Amino acid sequence: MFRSLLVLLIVLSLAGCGGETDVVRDVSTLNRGLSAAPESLDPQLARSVPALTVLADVYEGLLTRDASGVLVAGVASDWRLSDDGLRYEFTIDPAARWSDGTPVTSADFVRAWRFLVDPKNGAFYGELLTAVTGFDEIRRGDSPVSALGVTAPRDDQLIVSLTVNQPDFLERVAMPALAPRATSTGLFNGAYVVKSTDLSEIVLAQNGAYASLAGDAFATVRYQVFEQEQTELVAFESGDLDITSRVPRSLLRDPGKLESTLRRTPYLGIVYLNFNLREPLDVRLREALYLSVDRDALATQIVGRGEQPAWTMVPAGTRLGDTAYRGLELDVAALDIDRRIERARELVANMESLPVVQIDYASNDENRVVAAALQQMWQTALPGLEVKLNNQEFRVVLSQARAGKFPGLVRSSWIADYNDPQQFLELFRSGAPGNTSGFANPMFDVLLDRAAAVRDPQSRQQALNEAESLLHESFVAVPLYTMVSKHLVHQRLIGWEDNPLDLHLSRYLRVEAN
Amino acid sequence: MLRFVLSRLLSTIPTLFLVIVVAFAMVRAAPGGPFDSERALPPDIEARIAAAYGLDAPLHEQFVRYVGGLLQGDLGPSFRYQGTTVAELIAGALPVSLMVGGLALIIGVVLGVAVGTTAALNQNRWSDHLLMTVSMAGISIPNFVIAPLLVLLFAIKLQWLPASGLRSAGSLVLPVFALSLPMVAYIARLMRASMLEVLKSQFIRTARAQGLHPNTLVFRYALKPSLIPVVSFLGPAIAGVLTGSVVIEQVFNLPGLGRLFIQGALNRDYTLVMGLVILYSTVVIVMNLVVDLVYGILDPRVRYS
Repeated sequence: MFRSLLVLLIVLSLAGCGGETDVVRDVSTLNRGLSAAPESLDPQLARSVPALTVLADVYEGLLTRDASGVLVAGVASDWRLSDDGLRYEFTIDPAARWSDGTPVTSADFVRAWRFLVDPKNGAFYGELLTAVTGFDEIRRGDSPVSALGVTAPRDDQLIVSLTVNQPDFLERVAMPALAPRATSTGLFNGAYVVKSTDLSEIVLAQNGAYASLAGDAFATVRYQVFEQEQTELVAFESGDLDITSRVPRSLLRDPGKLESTLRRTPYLGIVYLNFNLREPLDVRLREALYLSVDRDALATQIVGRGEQPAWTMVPAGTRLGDTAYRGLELDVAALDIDRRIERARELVANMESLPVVQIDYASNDENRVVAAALQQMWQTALPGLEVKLNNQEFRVVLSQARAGKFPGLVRSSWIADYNDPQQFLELFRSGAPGNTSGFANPMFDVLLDRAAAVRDPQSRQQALNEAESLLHESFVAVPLYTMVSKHLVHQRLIGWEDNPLDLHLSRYLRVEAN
Repeated sequence: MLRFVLSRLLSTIPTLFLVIVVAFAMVRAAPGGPFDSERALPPDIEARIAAAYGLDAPLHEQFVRYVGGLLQGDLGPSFRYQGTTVAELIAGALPVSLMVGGLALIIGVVLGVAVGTTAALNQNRWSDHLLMTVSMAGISIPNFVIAPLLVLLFAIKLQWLPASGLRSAGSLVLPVFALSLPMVAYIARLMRASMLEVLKSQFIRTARAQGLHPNTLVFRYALKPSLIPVVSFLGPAIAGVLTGSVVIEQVFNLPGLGRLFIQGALNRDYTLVMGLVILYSTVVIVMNLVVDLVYGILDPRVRYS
């Protein structure tokens, strides 16, 4: 009996071996790390960063991005905007092909965009098309999806009608969600096609039908999923990975011989604390807390290297199309920390008593040290103030924050989908899904609407500055620092260009020729 | 015998049902839902998704529907991975856990029994002390310490073996070794104690008095009854090892059931967590039954009728 049990086990084990193939690491394969398994590889349904990373390799929209993240022509070879700014006409490149060789037509875009806005599909990125005519009616259920203002008069012509002169529309068009939708699954129009996918690994192969793939591009791209950052680091160190999806904090402090592979670059993401305005702390205390954060110490000493102190919700480096956006400039940013603490103390001097202030945050290494540092800073700066830390599992914090169930502040972060300052300010629009603080100010919403409907950078700049200023004076949030994208990139790779969107399509990467 | 097995199997039904009820309640009691994300959906859209997965119905109705599905062998769709069923996820991960766990188990039993027997036969000699010291260390040093040390030495410093993933036979070596080490140690200690006990018993003394060769004595007569404590240990151990070691699969990035379980819980993938709980409890129940049956083979005094 015992022996037969053993035999059974051996048989079972061998059965498990079936189908496993030995893959030797070679120069034609690019090995990239992912921090989680994509929840979907449907371009219209995916919303997580790992999913979007993979999708950028296998689908291409009307516009796409070059190695440095700049918008360039994709499936559309040409596009024209009407004089009133309400009608785009895209010409589809006749050479654009699906992976089975059939042409990509404008109908594929109509199909995709209708799918995206259809409420029953529950697509997060449906909001990209808010300015397209018919959007609101479709979302309310008053009109069928065919009422969406996107039409395909000819196979190579796509017409989009907008309700407002939306300045960042082309940025939106480059998102994977607005990529074409094939008539059947398993077809791709990007530089690569998905060969196999499971929860631990996604393997891509070159798309033979994709015209503009360089001759020395990788033949295969293998995305490996590492939920643990340490495991990913080990895989990189042992030579199994060319690019990691992140870098553990411990390594940033002392990269040692990995220093030369470390790539850090400012990223369009911000870490901040939301106040709960449903049961608000005294505005004087909110301002005092805002003032007494030693952001320089936080950014440079506590979180690692490369992060920049943030005084407003819009990170430096955002753009209004071709011009750089000049964010709100605040006098306090120039004051040294002692002076700011002085002002903070004056603010709370007249308050009868200081309440207990609680910071809620999701348990992870960086959040923990940041929260502890804030507790220390605030308790030192404002004697008599008690700061409580409450760390919980990610989804617990998330659901409580969304429901407005946090007593004081909650640690939040936001990463922009494309380079536009409004991406950050929309978080505070009344009733917006990401509006954790519960901030609701009609004037602020009007300013956002105004900025979303003008193309002139000057006017946009002004509207957005005003909105920023309104937000700042309401002390809705405590911006802490802007993010830095961090990767380990193997030295054999060339073609990697740091960019603020942290977007690195596999097709631009290759191995240095010996 | 057959009646015993049948009645035991029947008695598992209420146990399993209770497990399902408790697990269902606990999974749903956890704050946060499967569709929560920092990239929040508009509430009306989210409500539509929830409705599509049947999450809008009252909890008891959802439970009835879930159990109804189970009775038809349907574990439901994954809430996290679109267009994927729980059965597909488990089918993908089970072979990995079975292979790693099965190999570790074979090594654990074979080596453990051998080491324990050797130690017992050399009681209080240096070889006994050495083996027992090593196995004590094997028990006391946890997996999550041994595994990263193995990676550091064999994958990073020496670069003999892959650090993670599952692409070749070589990538099995470290996880199987790390998983089997505590098992070898534990079984060795159990085996030694039980073998010593058996060697002192009346029937062995009688056999020895009849002039049997020591080898015959040990392998023919002493080994079988000595295995009883090992077998009782193996019941739950097999269930644990075959359904995936959470620590080992995380450290070596193996796509097995343990990793699936962790991700399922973190993502609030309700159906995935439920499916794995049901799988695990079924294996535990079956293994305990198997252990009881094996007693009957090893010990002539135990008979089921």
